[in-house]
Amino acid sequence: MIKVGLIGTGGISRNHQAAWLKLKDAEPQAEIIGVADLVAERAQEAATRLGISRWTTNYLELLDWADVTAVDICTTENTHAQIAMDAAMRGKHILVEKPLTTTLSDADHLLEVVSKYGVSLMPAHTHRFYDYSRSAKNTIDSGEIGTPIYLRYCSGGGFWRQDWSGNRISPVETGGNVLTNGVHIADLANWWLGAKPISVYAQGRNLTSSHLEMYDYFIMTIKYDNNATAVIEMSRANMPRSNSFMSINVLGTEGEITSGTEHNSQRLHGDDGFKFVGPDYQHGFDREIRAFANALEHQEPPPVTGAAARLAVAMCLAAERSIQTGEVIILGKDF
Amino acid sequence: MAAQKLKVAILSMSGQQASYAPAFYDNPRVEVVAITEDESPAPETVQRNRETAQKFGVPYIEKLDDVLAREDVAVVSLCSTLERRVALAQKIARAGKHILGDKPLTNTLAEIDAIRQVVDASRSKNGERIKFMVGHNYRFNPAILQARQLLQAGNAGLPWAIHSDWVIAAGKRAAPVGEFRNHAMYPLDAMLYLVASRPQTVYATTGAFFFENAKAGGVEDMGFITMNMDHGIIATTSLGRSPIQNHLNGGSGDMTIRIMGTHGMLVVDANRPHWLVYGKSGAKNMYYGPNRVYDMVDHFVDCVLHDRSPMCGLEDARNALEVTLAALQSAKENRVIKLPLQ
Ligand SMILES: NC(=O)c1ccc[n+]([C@@H]2O[C@H](COP(=O)([O-])OP(=O)(O)OC[C@H]3O[C@@H](n4cnc5c(N)ncnc54)[C@H](O)[C@@H]3O)[C@@H](O)[C@H]2O)c1
Repeated sequence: MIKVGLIGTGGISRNHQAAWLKLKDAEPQAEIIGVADLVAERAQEAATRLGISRWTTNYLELLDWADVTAVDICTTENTHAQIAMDAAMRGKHILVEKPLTTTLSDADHLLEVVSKYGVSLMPAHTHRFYDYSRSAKNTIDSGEIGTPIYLRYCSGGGFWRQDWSGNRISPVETGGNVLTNGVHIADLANWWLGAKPISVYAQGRNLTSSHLEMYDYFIMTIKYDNNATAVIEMSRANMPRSNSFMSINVLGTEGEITSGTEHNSQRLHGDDGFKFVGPDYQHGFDREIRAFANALEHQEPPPVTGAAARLAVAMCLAAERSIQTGEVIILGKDF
Repeated sequence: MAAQKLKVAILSMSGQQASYAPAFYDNPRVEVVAITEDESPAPETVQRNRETAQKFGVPYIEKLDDVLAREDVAVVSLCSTLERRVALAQKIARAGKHILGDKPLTNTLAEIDAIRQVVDASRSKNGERIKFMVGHNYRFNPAILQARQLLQAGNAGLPWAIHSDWVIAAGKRAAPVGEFRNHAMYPLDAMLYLVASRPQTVYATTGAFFFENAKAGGVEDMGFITMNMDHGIIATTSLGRSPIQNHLNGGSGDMTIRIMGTHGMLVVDANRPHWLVYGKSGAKNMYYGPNRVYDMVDHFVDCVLHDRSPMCGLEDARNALEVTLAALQSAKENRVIKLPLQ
């Protein structure tokens, strides 16, 4: 039985909790046995929902609970590095939400500590676990479209459901939108294309408000060592806000795969207008957490490596720099 | 009295002439009077010239000068090898004839400027300005013309991004000049037209991924261009020719444009409307909208008859070529190129 301490009980932890609950009577068997959140009510509420008694506002206390074998870190982005290092130094295995860290020096430091203490670390790159991404990966790997040479990924959405008080639009807490959301697809692109990124060029805008200190819209162009290109466009500035248009295209030397909202199973023509209805996201979290538990159970390396997550962070920090300078950033120098 | 038909000469059945010539021939306001040719044409071209002349029931006049000397000929549809473009365009303009020019019009910006100089200085036999239209027929896709009207009327608010895919399919080999020089003007012209803005910077990636002749010739068969434009608009396009033989749209492949605005989003699919046909020959999308080359030629005829400037003129050809050249340079050097090009 894997005994898990959940650190951070905000928005995304709900999906994690649901996934862990499904492992209570499963194989591998796992269970959250305690939670921590800076906000007491949130921690307490999560404990109640999970039917457990242990909660704390100080994650260090959670790390001292001897029966905790692994932690699931769902805290704000800029806290991942410290919390994960503290966990590693106490011999706890780690599932950490993306982005791995918000700086590269943090990432390097963390990976060093993880290797020194011999714990397992899995960055939660959820997009590796969705049905859409795995079916694409399988098709690409089967050779059906030849060698993938061009990926165009457009993920569109409206503005975050928050105001100036929300942390999702805080560049300090999140490391910026290019980082925190870009890492998902940067990692996906690396995984699908199976090649090494060599440079990043990016364009970004703060469309919703000129006072917004992050890019609610960005597009990054990544060049790979096999001359493939990946174009990643992510929007939280779509209008109207209900517009969640998505499209994905992978062109290979001998074929192509395409999907997106136009290929969804449901389109809702409701009183609020037209809406694409996509698949439920929970299945990605379920599969991700099962994969982590499985790796621990069988003492296998987790399916997403720290190095892969570090690379995705480097690409997105490079993209951020590119937006600021207007230049192409070569990976491997500063990034 | 019946209105006089516009008399058109077809210069060389090469390049895009295979689609321009019938568009002139079938136009009710046009009379094609001759097929003609430049000096020393390829034997296959001569063959096609003869066949077309026979089909249209018009003479094949081997010397362009003989056609240009004719008072009644008002228009020349100019397709020829790229190397002879400038000299021919200048000669035709000096003879006072209006011109529909094949794409890509020229290899260089200087060549377009050289054509423009002569065109600006020349007049038709009625003393009117020479109308020079370039065959950017993509802009004449009804969905794109309509999209321009929707945008102009503010239906998407102020555009802040425009993204296009132009990847034709069913390829067997790449255009010898590369797919950027061959095709970039289509999506670029349409994008610049739709958002009515000018590009400031260009970044691009290219590769020879599909075709042996592209690899051997050192030209690209696929790539991606991204620009920063006036008003902060981000504009991108995929661009190339894929070897996919079973694309549902056939050779037309993917031709879409998505415009993001402050108050909405507009998606255009130039291969629609269509029927999805499951026929004996397989599955396919069958486009059933108007023919954009016919509409382009009709617009040109209109401009000549009514002394108006055509929509895709030398300036538009220059704008698209400038981005294309910048993109090629950018891809080669993996850096951002600022416009205007020096
Ligand atoms: N995989 C995905 O699809 C996905 C989706 C959304 C968010 N995320 C990631 O999940 C993480 C959390 O995002 P969220 O949307 O849930 O944010 P959130 O603000 O809703 O939740 C974060 C929680 O962490 C708590 N916290 C912060 N610092 C802490 C500390 N030192 N100790 C204990 N608790 C602390 C906060 O009080 C808050 O409750 C981020 O890294 C984010 O990028 C991933």
